[in-house]
Amino acid sequence: MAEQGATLERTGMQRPRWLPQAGAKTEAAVQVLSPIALLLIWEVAARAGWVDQRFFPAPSAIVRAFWDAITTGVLLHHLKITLWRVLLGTLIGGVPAVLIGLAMGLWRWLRLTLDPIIAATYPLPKSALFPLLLLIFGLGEGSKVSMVAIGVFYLAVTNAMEGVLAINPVYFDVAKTFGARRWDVIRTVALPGAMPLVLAGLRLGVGTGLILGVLAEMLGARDGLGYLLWSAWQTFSVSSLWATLFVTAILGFVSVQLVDFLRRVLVPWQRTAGRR
Amino acid sequence: MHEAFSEPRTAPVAQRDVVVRVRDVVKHFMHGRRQLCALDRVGFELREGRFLVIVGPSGCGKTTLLRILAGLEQQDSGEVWMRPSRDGHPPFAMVFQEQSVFPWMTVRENVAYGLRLRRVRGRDIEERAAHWIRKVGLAGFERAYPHQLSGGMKQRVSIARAFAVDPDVLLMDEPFSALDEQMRTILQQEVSTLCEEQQKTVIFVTHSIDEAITLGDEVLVMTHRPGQVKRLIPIPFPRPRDVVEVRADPRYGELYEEIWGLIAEEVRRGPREA
Repeated sequence: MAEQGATLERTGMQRPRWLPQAGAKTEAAVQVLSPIALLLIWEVAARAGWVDQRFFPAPSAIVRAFWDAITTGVLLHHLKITLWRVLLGTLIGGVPAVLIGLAMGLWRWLRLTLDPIIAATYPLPKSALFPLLLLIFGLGEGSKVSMVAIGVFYLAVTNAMEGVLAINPVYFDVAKTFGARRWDVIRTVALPGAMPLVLAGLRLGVGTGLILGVLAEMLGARDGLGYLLWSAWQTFSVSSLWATLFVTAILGFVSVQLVDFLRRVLVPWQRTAGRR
Repeated sequence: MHEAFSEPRTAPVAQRDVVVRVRDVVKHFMHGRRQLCALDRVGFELREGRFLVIVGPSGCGKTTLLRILAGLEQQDSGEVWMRPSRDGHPPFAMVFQEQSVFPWMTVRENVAYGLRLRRVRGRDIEERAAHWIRKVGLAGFERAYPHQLSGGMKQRVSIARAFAVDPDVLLMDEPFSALDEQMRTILQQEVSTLCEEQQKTVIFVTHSIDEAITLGDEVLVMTHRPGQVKRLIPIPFPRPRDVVEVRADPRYGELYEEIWGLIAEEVRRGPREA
């Protein structure tokens, strides 16, 4: 990247003088500096009393609350529980979703049978299912984990199906002309060809699963980050509310990064330049 | 109505060495609620080692004919025969028009694809893939993915993939139509040389008259829809050929004019619908 910038510079590409050179380093710096600037403004605004400290305590106060929650082990305890639920839910919802979705992409009759069912139930807000899940699974782990699983399932299943359908038909023709049998076609064309969308679906699914999991913890749990958020509101401890929010955001970020890592391992052939 | 076209269909001179035989092939398509006739009693014979180029106005069914030969589509009636290979695998390999190299495989994996499907021994696969990668000038790019290659390089991968399984017949569907002029000329020369050297029987579909004369031993001109054989024209240039020198031959101009006349007639007439 940096090299490319240098060659552009040497070839004398016309760039207005006032425009800063957007090299890779500058880009990275902007990405780090912009959140820091926001935090600084926030800190100043809170201390000067421009914003209501009851709702927006200064970042330094949040960091203190965060530190307390970490050192007492409370935050990590709840984080671990939520993490476990999201992981389990992702596996329980995601693995069958990918298998069913791929099968739907491959077999027209399966698609004709299942697609209307999925299309009809998809628009239902998944959160509205929680009372029913509570009835079925009770207050135990089942209701929370199944909530995550449902969130992951829908996005993973539709994307896996679309992944197969989006493959350029010429690749199937190539396989056929080389004498590929049914399983060869699936193994060498359908599965690798669908992989980019399968992982896109999982990426979206994990995000939705986390949202639903935290929501379920708010409504019907005695532990987990959602529970912690809810009890922070009930006890009006705003700093710890913010600290928990922060951890939840990190959890979301890290889980998406994990899927992206999986993508780089499983789909090494996709061009990565210019993505973001 | 068809007496004019009966001449090329009944040319059973030497029956031996025939590798491909197409007889009275008819193919219809549904276009909305209307039935269109894509191919109307098309027939020809091809002897071993011959390079046949099929030209015609776009929409004349030449690609459909090739897809029927490749088993990707089924004719409504008529006979398509290809001499079976000794090992029971498909006796042909196909090079497609668009970018058809698998983006999820490296150059090496793409070239080895047909061999892997044929359950060739691992060591032999490596050897033959490496051989053909070198042959098409892609040495050093074995581990590259297609998105890292230019259009011409991708088409070289596609050509190597077809040659690697050592087919008796090569089917090529406008393989160079997406390339720029220079790259097209370079690849025409390479394919011409390779087919001559490997003694391949080739059926090559193109809309370029120039390409047809440059590469073919015979040129089959098709009519507008419904596609019929309009004329079969022998190309007198010996092989191996230099694709640039051939164009300088005075007979090249005459052939160009003749074929262009046939095609222009069809283009002006437009599709004849039943």
